[in-house]
Amino acid sequence: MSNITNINDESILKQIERNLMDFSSDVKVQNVGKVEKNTDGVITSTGLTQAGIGEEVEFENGVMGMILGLDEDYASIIVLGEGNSISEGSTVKRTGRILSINVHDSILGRVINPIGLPLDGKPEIKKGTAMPLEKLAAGVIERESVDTPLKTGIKAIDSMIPIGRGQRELIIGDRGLGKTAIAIDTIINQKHHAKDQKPVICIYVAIGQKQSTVAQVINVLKENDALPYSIVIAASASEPVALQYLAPFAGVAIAEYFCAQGRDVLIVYDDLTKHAWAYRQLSLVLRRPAGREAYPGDIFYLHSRLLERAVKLSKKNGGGSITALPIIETQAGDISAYIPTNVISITDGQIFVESDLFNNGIRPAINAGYSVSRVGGAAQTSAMKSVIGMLRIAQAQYRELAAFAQFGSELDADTRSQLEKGKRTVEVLKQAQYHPLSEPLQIMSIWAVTHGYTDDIPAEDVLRFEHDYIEYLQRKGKKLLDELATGKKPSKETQELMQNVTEDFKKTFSA
Amino acid sequence: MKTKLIKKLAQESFANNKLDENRVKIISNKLKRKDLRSYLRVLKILDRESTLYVSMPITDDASVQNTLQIRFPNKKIVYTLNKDLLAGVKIVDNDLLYDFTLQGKIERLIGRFYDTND
Repeated sequence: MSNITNINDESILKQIERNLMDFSSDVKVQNVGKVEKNTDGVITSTGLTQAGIGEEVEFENGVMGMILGLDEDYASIIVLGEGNSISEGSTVKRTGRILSINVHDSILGRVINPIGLPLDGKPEIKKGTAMPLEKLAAGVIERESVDTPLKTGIKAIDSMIPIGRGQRELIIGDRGLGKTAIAIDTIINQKHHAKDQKPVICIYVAIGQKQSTVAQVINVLKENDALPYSIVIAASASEPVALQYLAPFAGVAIAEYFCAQGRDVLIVYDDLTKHAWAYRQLSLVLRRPAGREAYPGDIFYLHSRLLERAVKLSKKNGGGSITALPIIETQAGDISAYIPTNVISITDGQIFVESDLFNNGIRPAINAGYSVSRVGGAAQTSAMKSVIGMLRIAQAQYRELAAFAQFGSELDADTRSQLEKGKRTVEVLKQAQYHPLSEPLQIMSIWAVTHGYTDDIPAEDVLRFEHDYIEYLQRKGKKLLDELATGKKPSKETQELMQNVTEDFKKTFSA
Repeated sequence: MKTKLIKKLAQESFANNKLDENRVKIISNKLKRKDLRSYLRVLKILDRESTLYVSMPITDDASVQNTLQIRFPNKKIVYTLNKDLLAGVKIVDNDLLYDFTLQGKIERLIGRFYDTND
């Protein structure tokens, strides 16, 4: 306290002196350029001969920009602000810095734009570490294989298409089929994490979306208490195209800040189709040669270098991870279009949502046939693995026989029973939006259906059965749920307990 | 026409580091409209490269003018008056800006304060 009250002229002068100790008053030589052209926020400038790609530059009026291309005579700059404010003939100078975003622990729970300016009306982010937007991904030596599950809370995903921490899993499908809902559910589910696992920090990157949609997502996160451990980066459709292009890179730069601290991060890119559009627009304005569907030649590299930054670091390097959930919007379910095939080949698997399933009331409308997780299996717990074998078989048999379902009574008893069981497995995988389920409850639901406890219940009552069953388990099966939460393969005693609890519940349930 | 050739023509339009009007007339009369555009663009760049832009708070400082003429004998020097600079001189040589002004020093000092007290 005495230190605070003892402020006098002398101490102030001393502080100033200390601050200016290493200030050099030497002549400043700066590399500058002159704006020749401004096309929709993309600047062509002469000069800047010493500038490098990705370097931050400052215009005469204080607006910042980033060098996107260097020609023999010209530099191409994207404006990180109001593009119309830059006029022909104005000066632009180098800053010598690679474009970075300021990240501090207090960024959690905030809504920002891709250059780190707050959009939530709260004060600016405290000064922390400058994280470069463009950076080479971690090399093979720094990484280790995916071995920890990232639970989405969605039965269909956690059981059949499991995601591991550090994985890149694409969510693909037409518009309005619940792609964002899957990502948001996953974020909400990170609220509940197992005691032996680290909490996950979530980053949601909105690219080229309507402001109203972004506001809706923020509200959902708030209502579900998911915002305190999340960060939203928004570059909506009305923002300059340069910001839409930079948004995912800003997101992954923030993710790398937390990953370097050994923390686990989940990043959702919603969506990379619009990101590709933004980059195509920039490239066409820059007069770069257009390729297939007018996308530039480096569109694959754009997404591969972004998604390659998803990582599971080895324990020696802190053990942090970045899990990426890119979203791609298809047209009429065509996953063989240019951008979808690119991103499918980059990622470690995809969750395909289909309009036919959606229209048949199967939600989430995940097509288990086209969906795959290439590395997530290694991260799945033994407890979950022990129940999904039968689910997979039942689903596969159902898909094969579904075409014969219309023949009904003409089928033999075996086929009919397989069809009926298949129907029930489809029913049990249905799940309401924003209602993620813990792994023990998922295991119990799937186990009950695959072990025939719903065979005597009409298929349309399976969801009601599951709802009541979960309530019953939460009341009377705490010990069992705790046992399953350990992730270990259920022992004989546990299996007996599962049977007993389920039989007891069945006595109380009336179809 | 190839860009390299246009660049060569633009370079040939200069005599003794100054733009030669006659040469420009001859060349421009022979160029097509599209090439003429590129030619003018390169001429502008070369002209800027051969010109030194000097801003000072006073224009009649003979000592500065003499020093600059000795230091840059082959360049055309354009002087502009800018009282905001307070004292000193600001020189733009192609894409290099040398700031010897008091205004620049004060600005750098303010920037330094912001950086250390952020």
